[in-house]
Amino acid sequence: MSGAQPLGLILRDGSRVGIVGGGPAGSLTAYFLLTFAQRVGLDLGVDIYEPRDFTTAGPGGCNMCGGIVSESLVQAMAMEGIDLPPTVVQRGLDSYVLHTDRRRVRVDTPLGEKRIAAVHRGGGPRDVLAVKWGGLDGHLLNLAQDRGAKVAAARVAEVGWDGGRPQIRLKTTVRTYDLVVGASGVNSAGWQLFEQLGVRGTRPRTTKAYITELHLGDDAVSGLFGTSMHMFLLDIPRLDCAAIIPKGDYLTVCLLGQDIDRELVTAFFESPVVRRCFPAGWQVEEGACHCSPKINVGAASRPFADRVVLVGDCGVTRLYKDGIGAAYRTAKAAAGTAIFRGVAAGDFRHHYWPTYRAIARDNAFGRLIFALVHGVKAFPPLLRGTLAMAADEHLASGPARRMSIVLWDTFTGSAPYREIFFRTLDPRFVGRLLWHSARAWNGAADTTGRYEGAKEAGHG
Amino acid sequence: MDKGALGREYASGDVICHQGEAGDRMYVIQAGEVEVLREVGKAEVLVGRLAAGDVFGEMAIIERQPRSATVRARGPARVLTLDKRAFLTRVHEDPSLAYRILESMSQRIRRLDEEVARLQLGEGTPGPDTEEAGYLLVVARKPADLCDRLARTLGTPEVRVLLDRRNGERRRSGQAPGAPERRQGERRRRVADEVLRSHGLVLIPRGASVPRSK
Repeated sequence: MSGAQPLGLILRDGSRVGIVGGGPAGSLTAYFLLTFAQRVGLDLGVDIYEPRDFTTAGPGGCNMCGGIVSESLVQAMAMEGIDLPPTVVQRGLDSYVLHTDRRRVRVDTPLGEKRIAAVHRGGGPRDVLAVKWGGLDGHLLNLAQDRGAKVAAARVAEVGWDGGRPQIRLKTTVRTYDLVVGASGVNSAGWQLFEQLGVRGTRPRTTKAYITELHLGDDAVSGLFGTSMHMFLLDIPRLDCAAIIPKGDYLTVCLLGQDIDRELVTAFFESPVVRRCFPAGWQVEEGACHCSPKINVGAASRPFADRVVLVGDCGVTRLYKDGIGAAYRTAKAAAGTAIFRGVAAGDFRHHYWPTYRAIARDNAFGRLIFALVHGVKAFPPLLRGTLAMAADEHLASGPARRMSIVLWDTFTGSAPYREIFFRTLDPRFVGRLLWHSARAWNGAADTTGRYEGAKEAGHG
Repeated sequence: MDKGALGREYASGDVICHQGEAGDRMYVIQAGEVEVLREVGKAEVLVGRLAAGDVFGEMAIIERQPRSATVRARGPARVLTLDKRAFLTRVHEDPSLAYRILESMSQRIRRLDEEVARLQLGEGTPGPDTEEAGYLLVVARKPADLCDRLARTLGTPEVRVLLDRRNGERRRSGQAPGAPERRQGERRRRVADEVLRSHGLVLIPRGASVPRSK
């Protein structure tokens, strides 16, 4: 970078912050910057650059995501005073159903509360007839605007420096800022801009996911999938995780793994386990809204420079789950650092980097857990033992629901992977799993909860 | 219940948590209103009402004491629960999450301080009888606000209202009000008096002794 003072870079009255990207990471950064500034009596100006209109249906207003706000994020946002109203949440989820080739098991939230929010990120799929719900991204952007952020519907094409301060250059205007926040995700060319602003190190490592929106109508979605997130543990190569998330009139199908391609997608929909979830003869509609977005599976190595910081997916996110939660955590940590500490690279290294690194390190445990899941899938008695143990815990409560909690946290992203991993090392957990697996080996544990016993899964 | 509604729904009158029970969770109101009731002897005293966005039940978690009040839904209400362990873990990781709770406690302490000062000044010293009578203190700057709050919060006929008429003036900059302000203030007070009487409430002017309940 040119001419910036390496030390003593702080935001003062009248300072301006430019945020590139108005998804959850950008909007929440603006929200927290302005909230913290208000608390300390700092007059701060925040501009968000977001070319998409999140009120429109289809790709023009979509941020390509499964659209789950995890239990832990719902609770954290509630504590922050950030409301997720029914005009945004299409379906509150109170359980998940785990499907395997032989049986399915349902695990409920404590107290039967709806603690997970199923949302669309924009106005909905491209074939939506009427936009009935607001998207999450538009909602968070509105919250940031209510706090005083200004939104410019423009794509940032170029950046530069002006006397030690970063500049954002649009076609007709140039604006100089005291801090530029990169929140452009991994599906845009934002990284080139941030490299021009002095961010060095490796870019995030990505892989492709597959997301499709299937229109079934409200009644069919409610009747077939209820208020549960449906997770599938199928023996399909390269597939780490598959989910069907019921929303308003649509189902969102989300496939995660290595190099998801058409062959893998076809194998998923043709799997008997998946077909059982749909009416006989149902087929994926030709032309259904779908996308193959890049997802971040490896953090960028250095997400900051003097007066520049990266938040959300363009830096780090949680492996496969709770990306919006990672956006929230990084946005808040970056905003707190900028307001209370400073905007020099050293400030971000000392006060933002620990939060960022914690997410990246936790993903190492995530990879370990998904490797274990692959191992369990490949060894049927262990898989049946896992499900039998979860089914057995149905009437238990609290810590006694060891397997249910592990599965819940793994598939909903409600707890750090590290915490989940160490819970699986508990001797009582291991002992009960081995006991159930041994019974499954002898065929005893498979006497309940087969597919014909749909009550166990308890749709709706 | 709306499909997109988060939390758990309570019908009007449902008790969300009981005074005296162990507090192993706290709550955030998502929609509707709840009333906070303190049981004093056999009487039940309304000590507050909370609305969407408000947090309750945090005192029992922080102090590790039994719950200090019962909370009941006032009309249909939707409430999200936060487990004690999850709450404490998150606050440990991100202490700023507790800021709103501190803010709410600070406001509560400020209100209590004002009330204590008022009582110390003789503006109605509660004896054992008056405490059980369940007085509702209404502080409002404008008659319209007062009417609105009364309409929303009026309880049983036993509830009486202590109206601090000076409140509007006290909040001003300290300068004596001019003639137009005085006239406007008098008009507002007359409207407020009429509203109170129409609701069958006892109006207790500042400085007068507080009548005892039946």
